[in-house]
Amino acid sequence: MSEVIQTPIDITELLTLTGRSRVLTEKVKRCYALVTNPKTFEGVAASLRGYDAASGGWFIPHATHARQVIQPIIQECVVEPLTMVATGSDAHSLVTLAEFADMLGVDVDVRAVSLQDIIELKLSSCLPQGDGKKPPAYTELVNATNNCLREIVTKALLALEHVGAAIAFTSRRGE
Amino acid sequence: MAYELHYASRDALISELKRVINGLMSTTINLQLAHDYAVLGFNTAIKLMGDVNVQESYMKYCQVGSKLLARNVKENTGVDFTFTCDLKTDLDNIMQVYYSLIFRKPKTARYFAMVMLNMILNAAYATQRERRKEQEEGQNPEEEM
Repeated sequence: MSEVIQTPIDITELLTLTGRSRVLTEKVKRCYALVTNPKTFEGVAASLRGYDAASGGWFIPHATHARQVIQPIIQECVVEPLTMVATGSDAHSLVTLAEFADMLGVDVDVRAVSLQDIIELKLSSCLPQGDGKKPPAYTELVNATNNCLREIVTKALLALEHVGAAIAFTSRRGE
Repeated sequence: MAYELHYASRDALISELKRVINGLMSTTINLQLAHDYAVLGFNTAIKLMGDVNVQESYMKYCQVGSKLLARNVKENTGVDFTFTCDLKTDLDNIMQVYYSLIFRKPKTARYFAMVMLNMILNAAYATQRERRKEQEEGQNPEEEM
């Protein structure tokens, strides 16, 4: 099996980045643990590899498949919590989205785009697209997918921490 | 059109602007709060802007220091800001730049607002010094009111 480069982030690094010492909420911790757990990345690698019964050949993954594979985690750890915090088009919501986009290096005016658009733009820039005829190499795609996932989720958790929303998030979910 | 604020009113606005700038300085993490401070700061600056004494003070300060101020803004935020030294025009431009940044690069917007509001505060401070000087010389008609 191809080797996947993994560089887990220490939780103290996240706390240093946030400049806060308070305990992360259970939900944030769970999502954080998810994207720092090597098993998650092994799961992504496994999902991007398989036998395609329809064509009778080996499944050749590309960026679209990678998006599908990581979509559930992004939904749970990015879209759901950020949507709860940034609920509308008010200034606070927009500032939170702008911070998230800025942290991801996506240069957009968030008044003109949605959270989904920001994520899509980020994925387009961090997933190898291939050259149209030839898909990207498997290892390259797996590494890029894992790195993208980790970056997007971690930055979302940071944005949540910055607005002190992690506690609100878990209480609203009744967790 | 301009007006002349009573010195007590002007002093209160100066204190409010100072409070807002302190708030901005303390919000490196929470950018939502930083935006609140910036909005309140602009409101206060708009009120101060109408005062003829603040306008004059700003013009003097700006005419002497605009190049250095522009450099300070550029080095810290990357924004090329051209001062006209007319407070109304500059405040309008400051707000325009701020709102073009806050929903794109909120950290930069926060810093930009902090630097610019501080510059207006400095101009307003000068009116207090002028008033004290006039008081010492017994020429301040406001004191008699």
